[in-house]
Amino acid sequence: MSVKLTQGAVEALFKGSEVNDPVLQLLNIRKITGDTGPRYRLILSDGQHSLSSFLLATQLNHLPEDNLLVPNCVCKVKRTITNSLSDGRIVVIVLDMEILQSAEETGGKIGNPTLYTVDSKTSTPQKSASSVSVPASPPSAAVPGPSYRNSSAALSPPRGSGRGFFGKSPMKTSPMKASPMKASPMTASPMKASPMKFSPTKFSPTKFSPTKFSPTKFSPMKGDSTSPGSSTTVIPIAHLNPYQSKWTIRARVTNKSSIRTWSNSKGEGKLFSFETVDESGEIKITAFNKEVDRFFSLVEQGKVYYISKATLKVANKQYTTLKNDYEMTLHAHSSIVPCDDSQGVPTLHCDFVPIAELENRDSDTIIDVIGVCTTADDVSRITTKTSREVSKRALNLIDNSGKVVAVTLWGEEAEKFDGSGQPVVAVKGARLSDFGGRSLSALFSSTVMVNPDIPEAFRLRAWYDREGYALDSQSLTETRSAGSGANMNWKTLSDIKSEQMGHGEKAEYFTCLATVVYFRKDNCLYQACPSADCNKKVTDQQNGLYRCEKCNREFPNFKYRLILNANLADFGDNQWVTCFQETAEVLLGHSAETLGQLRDTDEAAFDEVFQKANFTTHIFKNRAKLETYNDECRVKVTVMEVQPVDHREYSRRLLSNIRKLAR
Amino acid sequence: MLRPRKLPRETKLWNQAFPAQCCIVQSLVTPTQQVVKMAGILDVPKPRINCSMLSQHISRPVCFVGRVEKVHPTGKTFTVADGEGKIATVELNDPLEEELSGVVEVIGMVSNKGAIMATTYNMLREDKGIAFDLELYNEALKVIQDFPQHYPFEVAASG
Repeated sequence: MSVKLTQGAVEALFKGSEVNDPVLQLLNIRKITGDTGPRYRLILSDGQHSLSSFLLATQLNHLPEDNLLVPNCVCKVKRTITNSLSDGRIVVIVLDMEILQSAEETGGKIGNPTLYTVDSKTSTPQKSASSVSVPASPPSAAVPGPSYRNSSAALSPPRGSGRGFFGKSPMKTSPMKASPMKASPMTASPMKASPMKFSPTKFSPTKFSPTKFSPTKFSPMKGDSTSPGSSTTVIPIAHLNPYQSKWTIRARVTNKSSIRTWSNSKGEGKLFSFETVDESGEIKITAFNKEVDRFFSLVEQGKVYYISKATLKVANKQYTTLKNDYEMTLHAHSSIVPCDDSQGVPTLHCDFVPIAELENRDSDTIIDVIGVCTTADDVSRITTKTSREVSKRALNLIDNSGKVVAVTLWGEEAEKFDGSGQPVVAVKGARLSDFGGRSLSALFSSTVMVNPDIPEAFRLRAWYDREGYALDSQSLTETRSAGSGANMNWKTLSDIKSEQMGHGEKAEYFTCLATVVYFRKDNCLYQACPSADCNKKVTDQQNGLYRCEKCNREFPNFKYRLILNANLADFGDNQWVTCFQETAEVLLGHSAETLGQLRDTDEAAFDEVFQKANFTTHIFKNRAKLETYNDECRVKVTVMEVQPVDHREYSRRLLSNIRKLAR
Repeated sequence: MLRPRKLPRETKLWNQAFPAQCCIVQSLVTPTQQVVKMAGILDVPKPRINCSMLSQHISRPVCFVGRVEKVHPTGKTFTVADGEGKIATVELNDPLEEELSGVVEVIGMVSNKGAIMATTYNMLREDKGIAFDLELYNEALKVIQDFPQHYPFEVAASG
């Protein structure tokens, strides 16, 4: 027992001042179940004072678990960190310690340490010696606080352990047990209105076996708080969780949605949601029905508010793209107070993806992107499948990766967008789609900011002014040419057989590049009914009249129409296709009428037309479908559209395919 | 067509490339011989290159496509820029007889100074057909370089 304890160390540690490797005796150790695992609360003494506000860092958990750290052993505390909780209590976390002398060697308690107290705030004037686990009877004035009487060694249980320190430190997620142990007669104690942000509840009597410690001792420390007015200690959004109910966050609204109403079998309702951000993270907040009325006009995008008392639940990732496991719902008791002091609260939390990287992301993911708007189309109105009319505008964004992508804005945002002057546009929460390669679409929940006040915007502006404007870069959203651009399902002719295209119930549409290698010109023309819209073949009555069965009429004339069977080939395979009037005329370069006449008059010229068209290469948009023809099922391919080959676009596509394959 | 005497080194290179033509008298070369010489280079595979690949093809016949930058007043040499913007020099045997502009395709040998000794050139007219996209051509060149196993030009040409 020759080790000397460092007297005064407890006081120093509690006050947060530097102590060099103090030697302390462990009076008691208590295991607490924290959210992250077991934690050990220690009562350490320096011979003069003892303190129960010590917590063992998890990396040292093995010490008590291996029975190295037992009551009465002496240890040297090498590294600590002193935290003060939001309610003012102090806890000292022991990060590193070394056992100097075991309990057996030490014998008993060294010295006669009194429980260290600090006036005000926490702990309480302790009655030194006395104590014993005398249940209750709070001696005079308040004995709130860690009333744990320090009594003879082994017996004094660190009650209060429940009191846990929670809050920022390790225990932050200790489950809140609301109405705790009011059991304690101690309730009386006027706990200094520390607005327990985290309802201290913890004292789980569950933690203690009530037999051992009289439930009494716990500091009521709850209840009393309220009066949020006093020290609204703000916690970071990142620390929010459903297990704490008394908290306040200070955050800026980054995105406010409009009111949405719904009506389903359970009735009607309305909601609006907004996203908020603070230095630590972001979270989505939703208000329903009555709260919508209360808060919708109060909450404005871009402003900072103190928000407290809302319900936290696990986030429904379907509806939100924010990086937070939880989301908040406002209820009748929630409060939103505007905050004037908004320094430190960032304006937006964005995770921008360089445009060139978009190719590597999967389709349908939610992405943030920022770029300079090079061109913006005019706003156009389209009717959606649900026959709603909506405005849309497509703009092109380029960023310093040199790539361009098309972004589609909808509704009001499309209408108010002004793309003049090549502004820097940031879009948060846009959905990446593989429409036309790669493109982005603003969702209902996306935020579009023009010339935002963030460093990336300035960097982009500087880059663009220096070099970007001259870049003739490649757009990831190709094929905006010739309308649609959608369903340019590029295939090669060999894919038709290998993928068994057209075998399903529905017809399959695809595009390919191919060369005509043969025209079946023998039966390419037929005589059709001259009435508009009727293309039925007419039968020659041999009396100068032609009868159309569909119209049930006879005509003295007819119109020639083309049905051209051709064989297309590419590097892999060839395929017989059928071209009707329009496409055949494009391929051959002559109208059906002209061809009809040529056939009747000048055979050579007629053949010449086909010769010229033979071995020409085009882009074909086809439809493949399984058809039954007299008991025989085969896939028939019809050409829907013929387009000349744009070599540059085709080369670019090939190059990008090569690069993709090479990855 | 009179041709100035070649420097000994050049002669050696020339003879290396076209061993058949190591004739001694080089001052007066008839058009037929010129054609014959040209035919030599045309029979041989000529990889397509850009400026960055010049150094790897010294003393070899190549095909270089680039945009004409400046033509030397004598008309015997001019500079071309490739798809990456880098410049190379082309030297001709005979001075230019026409106005050269736009994209040209030059076939010749790479000298050890990195210039192209052109045997023939081909101007890709900008007023006819589709404009030549030099950057896209450069991309294609890179692909050919990156995947030589898929583009066995040497083998194909000699076959």
